[in-house]
Amino acid sequence: MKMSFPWLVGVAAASFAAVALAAAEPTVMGMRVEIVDTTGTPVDDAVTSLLPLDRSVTFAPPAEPVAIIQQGEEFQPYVTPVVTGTRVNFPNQDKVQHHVFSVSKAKKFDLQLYRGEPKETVLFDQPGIVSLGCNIHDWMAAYVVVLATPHFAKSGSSGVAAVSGLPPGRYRLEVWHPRLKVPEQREVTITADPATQVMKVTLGIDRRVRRAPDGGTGSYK
Amino acid sequence: MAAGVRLGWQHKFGLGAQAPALRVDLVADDFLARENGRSGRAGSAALSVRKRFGTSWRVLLGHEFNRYDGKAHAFDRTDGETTATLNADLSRTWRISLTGRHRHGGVLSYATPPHPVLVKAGKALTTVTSFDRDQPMIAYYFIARTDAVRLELGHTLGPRSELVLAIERRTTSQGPVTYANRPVSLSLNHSF
Repeated sequence: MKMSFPWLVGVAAASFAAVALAAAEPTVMGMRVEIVDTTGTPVDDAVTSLLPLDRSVTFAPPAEPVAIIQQGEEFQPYVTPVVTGTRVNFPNQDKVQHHVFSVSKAKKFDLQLYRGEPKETVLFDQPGIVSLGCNIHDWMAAYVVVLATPHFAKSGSSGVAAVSGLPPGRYRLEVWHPRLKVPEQREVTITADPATQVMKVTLGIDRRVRRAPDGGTGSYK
Repeated sequence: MAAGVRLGWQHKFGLGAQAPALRVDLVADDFLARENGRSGRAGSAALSVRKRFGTSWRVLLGHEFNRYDGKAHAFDRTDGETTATLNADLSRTWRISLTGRHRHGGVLSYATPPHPVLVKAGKALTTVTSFDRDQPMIAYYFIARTDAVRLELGHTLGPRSELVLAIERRTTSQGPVTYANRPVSLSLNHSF
């Protein structure tokens, strides 16, 4: 059988492309981070993030806003990790009004008294820790952890945060928790799937404002 | 038995738990008592300022005017009361607070038979049957000052409930008349 030159070139090019595609398909791995305190107790609400050190990172924020609701005069959830550029909605499901605000450097905003859906969502456009509060109910507190990497997870009650979709390579692993003075960091190299890291953290005192009925001034009648 | 309305207005000078808050409360109540003359209307106006220091300390300063108008004139009272409270949250569930109070205003005191000291200090207004005694008692009215110190230990039972143990030293005096009270109370506070 005779094969003309252009056909040969076409087949060769197609074969090369297939090989190149197979080589370029990234191998992704996972990392399982176990966060425990100094007594070995699992730590929940800890945010684990991995920032690639060998490559630049690109990501797109979610198309839909993330929700942090107010229910039972508390924020739910307590800790919300998001990527930079994420919009967050703060629906109030209580019968009373709330006044949600932040004075954190990473994002300052002020949603004055409202019930139900707020007029607008809030754009978190800078990485950092954003402390949320309600200006009516002092005990209401929550955090938005704005990250410049899409590789993150939050630990549950088991203290485990599982990050998936990680190409092999070197990363800066960081663990943040509301009761940590400074985030715990270490450099890790991911070569196995799943990679496992145990992070032992020293938690400070829980400094949230105590919630209790307010007796007012009272008087002798 | 009492029923009434309370109007409250609060202004916070800034954002955050530590911003000072000013509060005004107006209360109007209608009282119904078994002793008809004691029934009446009460009104009060209170102004208070609250400030947190850190997450554990709170200071509350307040002043309140009270007026009671009984059906019988003998039960009318007017007073003003100043309160200062220092509160410390010991943990997420425990708190301790110290309150100082000063009240100046009308006091009703009762005696059977006519009490010589009360006769000197106050004005005999009427006889009352409030205390289910065989003999009616004489009600005396005088303006007195009350100073009190109260120590409270509170334990949170839930987001809206608190159990409070309180010890108080309270002295009411006017000239030769002095009443010293040392109440100890255990109360359950629940906000709806």
